Amino acid sequence: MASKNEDDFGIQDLSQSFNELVFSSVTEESSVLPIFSVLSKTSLDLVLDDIKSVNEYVVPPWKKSLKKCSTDKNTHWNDKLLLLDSALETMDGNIIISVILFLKSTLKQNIFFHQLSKRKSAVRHYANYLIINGQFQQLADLYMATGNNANMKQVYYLIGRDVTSKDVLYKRLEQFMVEHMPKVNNNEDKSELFENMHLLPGCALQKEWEKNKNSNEAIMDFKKRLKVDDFGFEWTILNVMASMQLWPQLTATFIKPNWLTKKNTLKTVMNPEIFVYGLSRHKPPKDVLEQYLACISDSEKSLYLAQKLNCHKFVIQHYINQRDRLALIGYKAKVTAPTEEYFLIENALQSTDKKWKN
Amino acid sequence: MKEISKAQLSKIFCVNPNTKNLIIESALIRPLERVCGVKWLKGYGVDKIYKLEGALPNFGANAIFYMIFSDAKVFKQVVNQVRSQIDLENPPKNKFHVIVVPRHLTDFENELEQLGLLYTAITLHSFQWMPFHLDTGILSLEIPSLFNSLFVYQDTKFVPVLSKILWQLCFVIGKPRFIIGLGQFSNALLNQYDQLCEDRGETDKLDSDFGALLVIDRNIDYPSVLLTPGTYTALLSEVYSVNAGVCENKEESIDKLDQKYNPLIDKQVLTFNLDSIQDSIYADIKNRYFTEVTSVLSNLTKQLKSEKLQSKEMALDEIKHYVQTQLQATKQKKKFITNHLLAAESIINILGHRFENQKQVERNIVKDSDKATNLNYLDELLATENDKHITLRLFCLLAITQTLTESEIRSFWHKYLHQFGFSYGFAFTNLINMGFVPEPAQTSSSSSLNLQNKIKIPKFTSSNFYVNAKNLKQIPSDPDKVNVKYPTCASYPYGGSYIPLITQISGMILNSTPIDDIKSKLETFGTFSMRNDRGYPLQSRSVLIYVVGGITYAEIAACNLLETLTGARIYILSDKLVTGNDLMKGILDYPK
Repeated sequence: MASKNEDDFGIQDLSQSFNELVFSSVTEESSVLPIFSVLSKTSLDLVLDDIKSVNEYVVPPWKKSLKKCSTDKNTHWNDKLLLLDSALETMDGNIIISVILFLKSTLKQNIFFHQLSKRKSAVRHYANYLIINGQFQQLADLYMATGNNANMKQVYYLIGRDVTSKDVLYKRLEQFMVEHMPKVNNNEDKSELFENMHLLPGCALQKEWEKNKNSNEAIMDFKKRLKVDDFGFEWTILNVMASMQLWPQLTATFIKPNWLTKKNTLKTVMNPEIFVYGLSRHKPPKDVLEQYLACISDSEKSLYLAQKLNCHKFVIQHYINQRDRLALIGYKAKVTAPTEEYFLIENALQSTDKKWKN
Repeated sequence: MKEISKAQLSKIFCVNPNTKNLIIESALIRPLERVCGVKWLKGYGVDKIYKLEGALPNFGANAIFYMIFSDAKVFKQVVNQVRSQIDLENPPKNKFHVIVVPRHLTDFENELEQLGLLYTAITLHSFQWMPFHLDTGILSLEIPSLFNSLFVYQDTKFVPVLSKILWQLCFVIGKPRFIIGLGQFSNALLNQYDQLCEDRGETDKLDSDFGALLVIDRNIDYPSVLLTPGTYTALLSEVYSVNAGVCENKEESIDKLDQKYNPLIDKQVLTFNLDSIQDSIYADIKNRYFTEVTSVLSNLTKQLKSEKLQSKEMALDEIKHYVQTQLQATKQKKKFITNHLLAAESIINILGHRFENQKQVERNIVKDSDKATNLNYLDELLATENDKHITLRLFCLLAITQTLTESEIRSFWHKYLHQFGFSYGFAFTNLINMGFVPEPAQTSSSSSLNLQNKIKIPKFTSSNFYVNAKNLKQIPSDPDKVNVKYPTCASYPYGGSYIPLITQISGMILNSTPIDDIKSKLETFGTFSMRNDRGYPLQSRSVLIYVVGGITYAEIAACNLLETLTGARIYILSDKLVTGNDLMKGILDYPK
């Protein structure tokens, strides 16, 4: 008893605060016209009567005919079809489902499916009803009987949807495959389904990585088996390494040193700017970032990015290489003193052996 | 209209005149706030209000009213709660009531019947409030899963709710004389409306407040939803969740990295109403293009600062006067500005880095150029953003405009499933059902059933989109020239790339384009019907647009511009205010 009281108190507490804070109704005093000035009394009555009728279970005509059909011992075949067709015409999902369920209870299954299959909308409604109620076996039967073999894939996935435990998932999907595999005719679909079976340990590339940081082969093998997209793969690696701040490994993986021109390149399918953007989100130290900036071949873009990311040294170096003195002086304003970058500028400006353009 | 909703709700509560307790699903709280307040509920005998949770405490003799959305899982939860409380052989009468919004379904009744509870222990009620007046010219029904059930699964269970709302609305506003219906479900709605008028009676108002009514399906114009908008409110709804006109984000997210080790960007915590009557600043910036909004806000902050400085130098009398008259207003203004600034900051943080690129790609798509670049961008987006809704959205946009070959679709889908998990595999069928992806060719042996499947006409083909858009002049020839600061073209919400369909149709109606012209242009979009009861050219320059499936703030902004340009009034009614991401959620997450 005591625990129940506590329970009550707990929720009551919630409700009190709930009442006070959450239920702040939008200004009550704003323009609320007296109701009769907006619509006449008769209209209001009509509208309110509507609610009353729902409460008193006044059966509308379609329901009457449905009830009649269900209570009569044997309803005429044509009547049933007529009922179904007129229900579909009304475009009211509720009515359609009631009629379909009624038909299902009074017809043999194959005849029921045959009639449904002639009416696409009916199939849709019934399928939706089955999906909401989780009756996947019947859904599979429905699709098979009505020839929607492509939708088998859907059922396959739906079965596995809510299951979190991997073993249960695997078992369920395997069972499904065994029963329905012959029906899946498209080869592409088949390969997709098989892939899924292999992939069940999950798409968690990074988890693999974390487990064995240095075993590249395992990862590469995984990637090849499942035909993982290059871009996505490299992006994930970038993210993982950057978030773990493994800068040396990052360099080893992505930068390809070029001894001839001393300008390194990035060995990745990604656009270098996107790479730099992705890296910058993890807030790496400036010199790491500058390494990658140097790999961008378009110097304008790299300059722009460097300025955006506040990589001052890079910009300064660039201006020094271009022998652009005015720009250096202009840039001095952005750099706070006394920092390394400031001294860099000062030294460059004061050194006499540089031939400036301007 | 609030009064009508209250009256309807009161009828339900009066079924049991004793004291009651009300248990509400949490998603219903905000919309219910718009209908009535706590005091009103207490006036009808509601003693305590609780949120729907796992366990149900014992309430004693009080009647219990549950209020839930039409969701099978939640309903089952409620039923289980009730069953745990009662004895089947001897159920208490008139104690448990379940109010289902918007409408209780046959499966609910069946469920209760099978459990022996129907009519005995649990009474089912349907309740749908009248549309909420969220902001000037925006009426919304706030029904959560209408788009999902109607368009993703083609399940028409909620269409009668919509037609009934229209019927009830016509009591208030009169029946417009000129009605256009465009789309399969819109026409079904109008038919049901006629049926209701026949069965239950029509309004006795002679003249309608509105010159024209346009009922249109969401699937007639998907690009308006799928394109990334640029106006302030639209971006707000993209970044935050806007529910019943309230923008809120309650907690700060604690994860720094998402599943794929991408760093997560924090959204600022805030809650405020999107109400242009109370919030004058919001009224100013709501339809502005985002680049202008930041400058407006900074101007306002400067103004406030200068006001503050001024007030420091005032004499005593002046201070008294100031406190009496202006202080409250200034305080409120400051609060509004702070909220908007926080929101703007979040928008910039979250969307800023890809906004330009995205805009460019979308512009290309609408112009039908650079398909390869667009596809590349799609692939990049898939990996870099790691957001299943945004990527799917761009894919759908490409699919209905520039159309993708089967191999392109397949490779994208393959990567998508790799990125987000195979548990979304079923969504592919949803995409086929909605017409984004063409049905794969049946290769099995022919049978009459297969032929029937083939005869289904695809809803969208690329030639259709570009041809139709050109017909209705939806694509401006030079998007760069569209002025977003002082806009004169209704394509400005999308940065000049695209004019929403409803704006163009309203424009045609208001400009008194000949009826045959309208008819010929709109027939290609889908099922089209028109009723003209000597209502054309319009007698009163006002249009009510009823969009079945959801409306975006960007389209509302475009219509607002049309209002100012033509001096007419355009009201928009829809079941919910959506963004492209909401539509994608429907494809991926439904049914729950």
